[in-house]
Amino acid sequence: MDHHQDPRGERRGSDLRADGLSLAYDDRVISEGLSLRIPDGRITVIVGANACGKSTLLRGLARLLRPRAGSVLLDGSDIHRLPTKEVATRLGILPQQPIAPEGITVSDLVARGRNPHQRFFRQWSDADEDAVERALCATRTDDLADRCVDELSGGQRQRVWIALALAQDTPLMLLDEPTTFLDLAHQIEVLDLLAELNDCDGRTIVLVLHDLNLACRYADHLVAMKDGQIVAEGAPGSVVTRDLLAAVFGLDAEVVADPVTGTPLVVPIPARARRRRHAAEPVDEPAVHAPLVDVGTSASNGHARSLGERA
Amino acid sequence: MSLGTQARPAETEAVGTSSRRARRDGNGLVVVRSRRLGVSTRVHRRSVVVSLALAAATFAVLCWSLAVGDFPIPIGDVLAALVGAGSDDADFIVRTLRLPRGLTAVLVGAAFGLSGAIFQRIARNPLASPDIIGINAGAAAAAVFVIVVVSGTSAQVTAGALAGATATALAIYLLAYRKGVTGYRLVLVGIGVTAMLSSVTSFLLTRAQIYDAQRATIWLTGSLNGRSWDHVRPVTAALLVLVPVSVALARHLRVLEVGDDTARGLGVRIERSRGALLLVGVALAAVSTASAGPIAFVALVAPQIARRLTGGRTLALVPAALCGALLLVSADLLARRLFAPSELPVGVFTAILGAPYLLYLLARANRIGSGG
Amino acid sequence: MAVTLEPRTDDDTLSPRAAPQRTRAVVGRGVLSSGWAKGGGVGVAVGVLVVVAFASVAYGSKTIDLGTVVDAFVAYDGTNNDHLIIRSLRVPRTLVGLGVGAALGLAGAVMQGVTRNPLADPGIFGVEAGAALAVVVGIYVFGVGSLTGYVWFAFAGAGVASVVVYGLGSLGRGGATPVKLALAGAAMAALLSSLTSAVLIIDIATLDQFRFWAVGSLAGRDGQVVRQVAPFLTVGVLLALASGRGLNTLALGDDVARSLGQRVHLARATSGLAVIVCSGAAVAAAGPVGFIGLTIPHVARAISGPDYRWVLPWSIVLGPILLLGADIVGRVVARPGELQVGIVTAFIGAPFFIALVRRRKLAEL
Repeated sequence: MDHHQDPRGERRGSDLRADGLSLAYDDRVISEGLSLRIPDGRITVIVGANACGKSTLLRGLARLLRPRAGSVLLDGSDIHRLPTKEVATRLGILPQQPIAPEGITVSDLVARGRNPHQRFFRQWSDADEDAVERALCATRTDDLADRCVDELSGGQRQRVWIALALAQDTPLMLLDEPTTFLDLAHQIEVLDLLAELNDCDGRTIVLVLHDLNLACRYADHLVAMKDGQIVAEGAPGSVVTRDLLAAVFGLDAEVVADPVTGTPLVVPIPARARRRRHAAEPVDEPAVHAPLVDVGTSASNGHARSLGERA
Repeated sequence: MSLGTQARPAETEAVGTSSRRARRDGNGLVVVRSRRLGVSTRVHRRSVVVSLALAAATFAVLCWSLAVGDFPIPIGDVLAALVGAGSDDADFIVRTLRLPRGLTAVLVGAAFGLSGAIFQRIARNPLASPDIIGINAGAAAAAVFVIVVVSGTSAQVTAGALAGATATALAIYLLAYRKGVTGYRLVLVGIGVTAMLSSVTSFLLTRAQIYDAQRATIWLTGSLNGRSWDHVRPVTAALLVLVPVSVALARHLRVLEVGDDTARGLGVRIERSRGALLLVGVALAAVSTASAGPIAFVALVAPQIARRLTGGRTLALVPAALCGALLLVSADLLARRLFAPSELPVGVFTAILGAPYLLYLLARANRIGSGG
Repeated sequence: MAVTLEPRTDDDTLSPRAAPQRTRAVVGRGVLSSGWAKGGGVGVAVGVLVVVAFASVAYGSKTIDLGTVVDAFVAYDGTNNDHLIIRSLRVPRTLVGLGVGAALGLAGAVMQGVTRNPLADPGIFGVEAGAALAVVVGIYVFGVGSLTGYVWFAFAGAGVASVVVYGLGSLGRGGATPVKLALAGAAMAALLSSLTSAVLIIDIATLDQFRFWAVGSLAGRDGQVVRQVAPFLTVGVLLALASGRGLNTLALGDDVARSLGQRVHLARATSGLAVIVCSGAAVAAAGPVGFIGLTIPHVARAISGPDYRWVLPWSIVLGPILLLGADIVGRVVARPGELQVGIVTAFIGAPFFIALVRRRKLAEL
């Protein structure tokens, strides 16, 4: 059952939603009554403080965790009732810190991503070869194809895992913190790649990110979680406000417009500056206060800047 | 950069190596494909070469072991006797005495090697071996019981060992079951059960008549003495079923290696695949132990040697089996002939052959298994 | 028997994927979590041990009433047979049992701590296999027949085997890492035991003698054996206890341990030496007694949590309780003969252990 890439808009099998989902590990309940709809063909990013349940939600959506109550629906069907292989052709997950077996080469590892499309007798078809080829090209790892995964740098390794998810060729891709432990340049590289996949192929991408600023840059739809519940969701501009940051992260921060992309930029207020403010000492106005893009101001809060949609 | 369209079909129909395929060959993989049947698979070139070499070596040693003995028979006559065209004497010696023993060695060695490879891959640990679950202890206790208490024949001992192994496996599974079975709990329960069964074996050994104790000790070391066609048949039947199943499950094993979550995301039914593989491994070990005694060291060492020979990039299941076969048939040859006319049990020599090689590999190795 | 499974894998379907576990915090997760509770617990266990030790002196293959037992200490009469049995047989036997049980429990706990693997077995160093081969050689080649002779040979075999295993495991890149040591130990153990089997099969008289030693027994361990092994046992136990703190740090991983100022190689070497001396002395005194080294540390951890400063004392106490308890049962159940302790230990201990495994999620490390 080879999956053909439909042009954007006629994509089959990428409507993912959670309905009254309750997730728990053994006796520890993480979330209850979660309902979420993943917008088709867009990039959704889930953010929240540590241990707020965002990874758990992703795992629940990806069929890795059986819900205590509620259901996850893929194109209207309960994901746990669909055959595993079929789900694997429509939804791919890249978990946190994946393990690569020792001594495996890049092309070997990426080839494992073709598993859902393979059968006992048809273990390596042309489609498989092409898919791996394309995945390697797209992630710019084709020159690393014969190298051992163990020898690669963190950024290269992460690109290889994304190539595996790409080779799986699914319209829905879920990635759990794909940028952890990467330096900034590599983080941007990985996220740009995902954005490209979303642009060119119309793949629906769901990410868990811990870096809020990057999340604002790349997300079409932002989901903020706290204590297992969804506190806010929507466009980054409307979700990321000073109040939300205080409520969800316990963070005292300014929200300004990113000078390059115009998306919300979170600027935390360090403790020293906070103390100075409270002591009402005259302080040099931080340059960052000056908005570069100002699309409307919240009248009630002189500090807040509300920002427009991502360009 | 568009990822949309499929490759144009006409190009891939081209005969000969396209440039794309040529680049793939740098990886050492060869695609075997029949378009008409819709069948395809990929094999590792080095693996195939190593397997063929090991198979050839095993066959050579087997023929050699058929030729030597108290009545040496020239190789030409051996080959003739194999097809039934030799003299009556040669026919009898080769086909009734030596061949079943040699075949048992080959088959049991292959079964142990395969079982060990499966266990080591599932556990991702180079020290995993089939006796981890305690099957060996059950087979041993039952076998010693049959020898010491019942004074049974060789066939009865084998049957008893098989029954013991099965009963133990079942008992361990049931004891470890508590809303499902986790690997860790299984191993710990296995340790407890193994200890109890070892106690039983020790007790029997200290209370037995000395000649029974000697017989039991020989069985416990691992012996192929007196193996007849009655032993070859069950092992062959078991291998005929279990080897294809292992090969079929091998592709799941390949995906399981990338981690549970990723594998689940790739459509593998983790518990089912792992459970099936474990069952196959245990069955292979049980049948082998029942036939030849607990020579589990082969199961530990053969997969390690196979991995190093094939370069560590593939599962190396078939090379592990062939390695085990070669190891055991060579050990049996030594056991029969080294101190002729006395015969030592084969279990003595599997370690004497295997351990030094393993230690040598250890000293030379750059990467061994996980951790370290 | 090197049985190990990947130490950090949890096969649970719903295994919680917490934040990356680069370090394992040493937090008390056992049944007793407060310091007082732990101290009190050990005190109670010591009390139980004392009772068991007394029972070991009071009960045995021959029925001797308690009054006579007390008299043997208070009003010793050198001509009274029972008094002789008590003072020159049972008391040394109990002492050996105490020492061997403690040494085995400790060796197992330290072994599991050093290798960070809850399935590690002191036999990994090839100690038992080396001792067995040496004893067999002693019987076959040198005609040794006495217990004290066995003890010396077993010591020598254990020592040589473990040194060789350590040396082989240190070859190659990386020095003596746990995995390489375990592989070297498994290979050596297999090699040595096959040589042992070879000799046993060649000479049936050797087999006849050896099979009783090979089971593991406290029978006939008298004052002389006590004098032979006591110094080694003491050294081993002290070394092991001293390495307790180091084990906690080692459990955090080599890198973190180094950054905390610990000299990892030294800590591992000292712990390794402690294991070798303890298990070598134990096998010399009583023959190969299995099960204790592998399972007592699990029980200790279940009670006190993964802090080695508590696991080690608990192991010292629980080991002899099991060993002496099994010895008493072995002597009482098979009167007037006895059932060797090596046989009974697993029979008594395993059901408890399996019940524990089913009940609690045993703390992994």
